[in-house]
Amino acid sequence: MIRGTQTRRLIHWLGIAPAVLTLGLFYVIPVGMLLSRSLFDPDFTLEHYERIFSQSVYLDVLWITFEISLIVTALTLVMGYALAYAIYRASNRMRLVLLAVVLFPFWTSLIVRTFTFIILLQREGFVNDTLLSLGLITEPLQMVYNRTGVLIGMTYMLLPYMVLSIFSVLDRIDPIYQRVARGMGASRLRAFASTILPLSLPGVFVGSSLVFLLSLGFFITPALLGGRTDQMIAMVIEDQVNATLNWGFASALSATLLAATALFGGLLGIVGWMVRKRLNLGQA
Amino acid sequence: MMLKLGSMLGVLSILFMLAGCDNAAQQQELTIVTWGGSYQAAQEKAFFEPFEEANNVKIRVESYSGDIAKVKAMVESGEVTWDIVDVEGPILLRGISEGLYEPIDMGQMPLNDLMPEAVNEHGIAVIFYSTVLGYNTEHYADGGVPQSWAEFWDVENFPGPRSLRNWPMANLEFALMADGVAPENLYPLDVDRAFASLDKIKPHIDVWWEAGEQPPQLLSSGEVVLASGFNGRIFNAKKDGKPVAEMWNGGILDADWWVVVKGTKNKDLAMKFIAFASQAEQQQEMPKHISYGPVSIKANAELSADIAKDLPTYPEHLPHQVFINGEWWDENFDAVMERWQQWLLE
Amino acid sequence: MNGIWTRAISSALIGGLLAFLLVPVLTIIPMSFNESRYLEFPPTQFSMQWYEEFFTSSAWMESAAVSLQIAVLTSVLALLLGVPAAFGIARGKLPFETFLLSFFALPIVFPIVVSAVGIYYIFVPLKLTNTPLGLAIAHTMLALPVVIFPTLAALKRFDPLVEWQALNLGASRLQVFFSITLPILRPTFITAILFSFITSFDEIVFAIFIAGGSAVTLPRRIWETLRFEIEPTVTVVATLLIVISIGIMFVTLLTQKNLRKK
Repeated sequence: MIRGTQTRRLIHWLGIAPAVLTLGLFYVIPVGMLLSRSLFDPDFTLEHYERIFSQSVYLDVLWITFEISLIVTALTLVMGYALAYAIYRASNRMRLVLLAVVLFPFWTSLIVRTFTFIILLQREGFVNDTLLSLGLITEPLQMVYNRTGVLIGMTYMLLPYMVLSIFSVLDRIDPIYQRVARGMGASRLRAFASTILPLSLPGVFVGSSLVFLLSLGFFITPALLGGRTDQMIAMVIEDQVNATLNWGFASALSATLLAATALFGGLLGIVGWMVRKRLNLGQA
Repeated sequence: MMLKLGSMLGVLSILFMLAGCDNAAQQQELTIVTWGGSYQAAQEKAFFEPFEEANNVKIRVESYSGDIAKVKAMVESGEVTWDIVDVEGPILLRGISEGLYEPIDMGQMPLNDLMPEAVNEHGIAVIFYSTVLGYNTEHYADGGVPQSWAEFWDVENFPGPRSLRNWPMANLEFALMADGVAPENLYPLDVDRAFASLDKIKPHIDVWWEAGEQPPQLLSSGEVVLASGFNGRIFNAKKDGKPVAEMWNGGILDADWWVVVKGTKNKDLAMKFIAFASQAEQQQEMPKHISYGPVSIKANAELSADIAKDLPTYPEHLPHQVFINGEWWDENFDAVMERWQQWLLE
Repeated sequence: MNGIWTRAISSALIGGLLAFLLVPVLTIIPMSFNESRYLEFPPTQFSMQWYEEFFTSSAWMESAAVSLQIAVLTSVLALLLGVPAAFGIARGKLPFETFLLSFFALPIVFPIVVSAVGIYYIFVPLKLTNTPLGLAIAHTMLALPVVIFPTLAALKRFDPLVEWQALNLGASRLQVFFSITLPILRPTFITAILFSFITSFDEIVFAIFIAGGSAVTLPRRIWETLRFEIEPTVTVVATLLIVISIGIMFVTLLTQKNLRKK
């Protein structure tokens, strides 16, 4: 029995309804109410937004946030793709092992991981001691309480997301394409670039977007591992919420972050659409 | 199969929830929020446990990291679950301007025994502590410890990695003292001069610490050889055998304050507790567990010398330190904080 | 390019990456057996005292129970809400699809500290503050995207041909759903459950803000402990979590049929 399109539509809407309603009631409405404080504190005012654009510090921090997020995304992309590809090419048993290892950081508590990095990377920590005793360096490296620490820490946290996103797409690619290309005389690199790479792009896209968006919201890791020039916007927002108690301003900062992200997402969407068109991939 | 799994999980969660339900408490309960760690442990011995025993009351202790936002949310929404909070100086003032605290019931407090700096309309000081210069004793085993903030600023004669707090309060005072301003002439702070002085030390600060437990960690792991820090935390690390010590000259004195959250249902009990904690007997207990100075005059007078010598309120240390000026900071904090954040990025 | 060399270099690189992933996690384990009160690596003296401390501490055990309770509830709720939603979007060809997707992505994008305050406010009149149920609901909001998006992706790859064939052969819609659709999607559902479980179990900001009182979760307790007194007991907690997660990991991977090479 095939139901009418009307009933089918209704069923689909019903499926979505509970999620929409709950998210709306317990998330969007409360958050919206707080966001309204950015403009109504309690009377209409633009002072919070004015402040964001008049004091350079906030735009600077926003810029640093995007900068760090982009670098982390690039790092996880390179490492993540390599790992995803390695898993793709591995035997069944190795796949299990490799995936387990990749997902390892994912399962341990964020804070404990961060503190472990501090202990390992500090001036007289394990890494420096090992490098010094191996004679590879003469002075201890500064790897924590600076940008390096933040990048290491955040890349570590987000790598699993990238690997999984890319791998789930790679997994669907039949290795026959690559073999055929090789069979036709293409070099390893050429075969890869013309078969696997284009087909894996949707995974790259999803993984990068996810990692980028998640990075934007980080504040614990940069607070613990970073230096004075590694202020991310979520740290400032947290400070405004918890210490200064200026919720109107915190909301304005959040709204600005949301807007900047939407803008960025829009740009990504356009790029993705263009790439898809050029490579003729159809719906990703 | 999924249905079975689903309903099983559902039943399990309901069982969990029921198991987790608290029975209604029979005793009166007071919820006190403080900073965790050795500080909280000391308060438990000196204040909470004795009060519980003497009054058959259960004190529910919660730790927080200074995020007072919850108090604001509680007060605004009318659902107050915290009765007393132990707050830092700036938060006392910030909370007052936001209307978050009940006025103190002075009638219950031992006013003639409390040091004048310990009494505020909306709060009573818990203890006095000092932000001092801490150093790694192994590095300075042969002496040569900087004896002032001017010497901390002197990277040529006193080389080595350093750490300061990521917070303008106390740092501006240190910067001015390093620039030659006498402690009695600090306030009102010359902000421009302070930042100019801070510019000189900025390139040499390796870590800008956030949490009170960081300075002793950073010093004992050798990450830095000099750092500002809370005297009590440094002293505890010293007691634990870590290679750290404090230098008192130029320390900035401040207090932690008991405040009663506005709208709490346990106001009377809260005031009773604060009065209890402020009396000389309890105030003498605190320094035995953590080296912070009592707010009670009698307690200060009666402390034995071997405990008192590690306290900021010790007669030998007191003259070398400055009480922070809360009023000045309350007026200027927002602007200075913004400038501080900007300055840090440059 | 010489095949042996490329193979050697790429193996070395992959090995390096794997070491990078493993080392921080593995170092926690020996640290939990270290005698010293301070966190240090490599450890100096063997001691089980922190394990003793953990298992005899009612505070830690209570937090473990609370975290578990909330995470299970979150997974159930997120699944119940998210899967139908994913189906609705994937099959429905609805007009506002992009808008719906952005809507469901909000919890990931929006700064969590601000949403914490907002949610706290809503919870006050609902008397959900400081309760495990309240925190579970808040966590479910965070877990929804993590359930919806993978399920959506899986559904988009799903070939409806098998379902149509079953329908043509006379099976009812319900039968088709339970005996064909669900089994094919089982790996995705398991991933979704586990992702939501982890989202809740490891979550800290809501745990600090919305919960409290009787609902102090493990991450919150770890955070409070580490901020004030670096206590080795947290390494015990972490080690136990690692061991549990290894266990769960193998269970997951063994059920992932679609891992088999084509």
